[in-house]
Amino acid sequence: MKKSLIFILSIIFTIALCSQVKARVTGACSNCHTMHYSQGGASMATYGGFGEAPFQCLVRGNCLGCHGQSATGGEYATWGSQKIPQVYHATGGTDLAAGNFKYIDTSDAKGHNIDLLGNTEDTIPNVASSFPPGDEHGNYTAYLTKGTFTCAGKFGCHGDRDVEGNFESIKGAHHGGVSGECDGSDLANSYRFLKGVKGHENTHNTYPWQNRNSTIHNEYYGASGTGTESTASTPGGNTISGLCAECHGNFHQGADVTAQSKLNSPWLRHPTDIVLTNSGEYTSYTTYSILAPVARPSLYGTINNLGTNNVVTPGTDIIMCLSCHGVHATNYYKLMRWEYDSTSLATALEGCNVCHTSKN
Amino acid sequence: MNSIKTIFLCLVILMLLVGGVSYAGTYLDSAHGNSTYGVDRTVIDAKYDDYCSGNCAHCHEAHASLGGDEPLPNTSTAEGPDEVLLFSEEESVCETCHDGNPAADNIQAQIDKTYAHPTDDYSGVHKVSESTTADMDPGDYDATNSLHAECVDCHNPHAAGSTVHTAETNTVTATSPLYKVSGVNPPSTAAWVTPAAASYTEKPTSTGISFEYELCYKCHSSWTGPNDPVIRDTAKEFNPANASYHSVEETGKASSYGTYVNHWNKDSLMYCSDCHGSEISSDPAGPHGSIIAHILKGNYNRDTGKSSLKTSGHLCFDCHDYQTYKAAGTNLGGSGFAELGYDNLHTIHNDAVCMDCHSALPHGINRKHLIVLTKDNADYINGAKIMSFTNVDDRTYSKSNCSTTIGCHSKK
Repeated sequence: MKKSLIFILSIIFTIALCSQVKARVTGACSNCHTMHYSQGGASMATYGGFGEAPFQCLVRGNCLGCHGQSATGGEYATWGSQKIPQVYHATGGTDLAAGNFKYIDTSDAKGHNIDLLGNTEDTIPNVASSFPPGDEHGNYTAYLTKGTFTCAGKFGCHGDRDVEGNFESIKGAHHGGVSGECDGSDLANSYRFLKGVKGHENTHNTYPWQNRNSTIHNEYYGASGTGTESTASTPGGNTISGLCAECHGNFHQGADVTAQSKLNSPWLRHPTDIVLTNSGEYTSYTTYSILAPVARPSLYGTINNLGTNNVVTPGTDIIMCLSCHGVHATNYYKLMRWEYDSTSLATALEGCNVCHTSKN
Repeated sequence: MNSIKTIFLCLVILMLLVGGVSYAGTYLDSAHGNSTYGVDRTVIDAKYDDYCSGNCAHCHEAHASLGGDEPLPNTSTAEGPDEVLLFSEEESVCETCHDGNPAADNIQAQIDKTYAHPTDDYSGVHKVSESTTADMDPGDYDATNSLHAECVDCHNPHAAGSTVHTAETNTVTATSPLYKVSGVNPPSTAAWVTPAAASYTEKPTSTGISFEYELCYKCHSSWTGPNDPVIRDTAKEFNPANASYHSVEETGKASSYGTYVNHWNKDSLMYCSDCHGSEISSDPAGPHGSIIAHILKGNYNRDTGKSSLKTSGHLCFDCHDYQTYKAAGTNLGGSGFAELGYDNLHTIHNDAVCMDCHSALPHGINRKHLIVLTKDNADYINGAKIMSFTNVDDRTYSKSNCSTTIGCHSKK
């Protein structure tokens, strides 16, 4: 009996291990680094063909060099047993939770047009008053321009936003990355290396970092009505929406969103980091939708579990920026998760109707 | 066992069917939520060309920003976001389109008329919660403290249809402009009783009204508390227990001898808006405004029915035959007001006007045929001549049934 129990536990342990995808990079150093950026007397090819070598931190490519290795590939690249999330890849297949920067090739309005893509920003006027929209904290209005929006750092999203530059702001994080639930206590322990952001990364063995279906998806952290507003470099409430508010602060909770003393209707702007109301049409949103996902006030210790992760609880779960938007880029106007500008009204309102169930 | 399985299967199918019905949408069936003719702000701000008609964005700005700027129109003096994510406040949102362009019906012009619902007169009084939840409160419409009539007090912009009601009915259907608005239904009471506010059945927007009068009663009934002389307790007046009333709630109690025009008959039901609305028949329907007092569609005054004046265009004669009921009319038959040998006594009252005998406020009164006496409440009389009246139902009136101030019959 005891042997059987040990055997069963061993199997469970093995399965559990197999189903984990590590955020921490493992494998040969040379997979990522090069001492001299020279091989056989010649410069090495840069990963992905992006950027100009040599790169800081002795790496073999810039962010897209690893995370956008092939414009014709899929959402994952592999080095040995290690999966590498691809944020720039062929369209038409499956995207990771934040979307796919490749969509920006067709329209800048579909995503955050990071400088590494080399695209000319053509939809947002390069004037201080409008870039980025809702810039409550002002820092970016003054300094961010068309050509300076980066993946990480002061003018980006990942890494330490007090430090300018992709490499400078994120260095070291890949060696200490925490898989699964991240408490935001430091960069390596932050959701997707978004410093200060809490969350539970989807570590599914087959579909990591995807919002695959109502059960298999990232779990986002939300904090409703905390009164903790973001600064230019810290996410208010340690939430993913708080991160957005570092640039788009006017669109985040507080007096910018409601004139009420309590955080409730009538809203002035669409609520984010606000609890989904447990009344009226909202009570019908009970099954997690990857079309309009919600954040949680506290993260589950487990993920991808039927009965917890697929359930939405109005009155508890939280509306977030990502309820409507993909972060990197989507195939839709304004980074929306659905075709909000469709000529078919039913299609245009598809995502709205997830919460606004009586408006279908 | 098989029968149990069959019953179970049937129950499951039934649940699925019922579930499907309960989630059937209203917005996409509404006048605004139509990709062909629905709400469209493109004519105001070309940025909205990206969105098809009916898209939420034409009214709601999720961030009060589009492409980094506040979209047009920036109508408020303090630019920025407005309540419920709208691009402006209260009626100015609706009037942006419903001023004749792009919406053909110019509602704004109606509201600007001398006599109109006070849509433009108040701001900041309407509360979102007063009609969108079950927390309806009579105080929300109190005539003293909270009087207001914003567009959304009468119309649900997510549900409103565009089909004007069918004549001779009083119901609100899914295609009605009044679909899924809040209202109150009065209790059944004895005649001429003022219902207590707490006795009304409240219907929030999630349920919606079934009859137009339920909407009107939100303000024009004792549900709102004080009986303001303008607001009135019309629920008391239209009470089907009264001896006579216009058939807003239930079929009227008119005699079977009357003569009607324009498809009306004694059993017709009616809407408040059959009498209240624009004085011009081709104007948009509904009691938005009129140049005639009480937002009436036609005149009803001391001239109405006078033999020496042509008053066939007055309100009463939209339904009641002019030549039957005017003084010195030519239709000698077809009236319950008759005596042996003479079928229509209206025609021989040569100098009379309607208000000499009938209520000047003809919603309803607890006396047959809306007859008023000089002693009645001043709200209901305007030059009344009758001092006493005895009803007969078999067309056998005689002079002794009335006494008048002018002494035509016995003067008491």
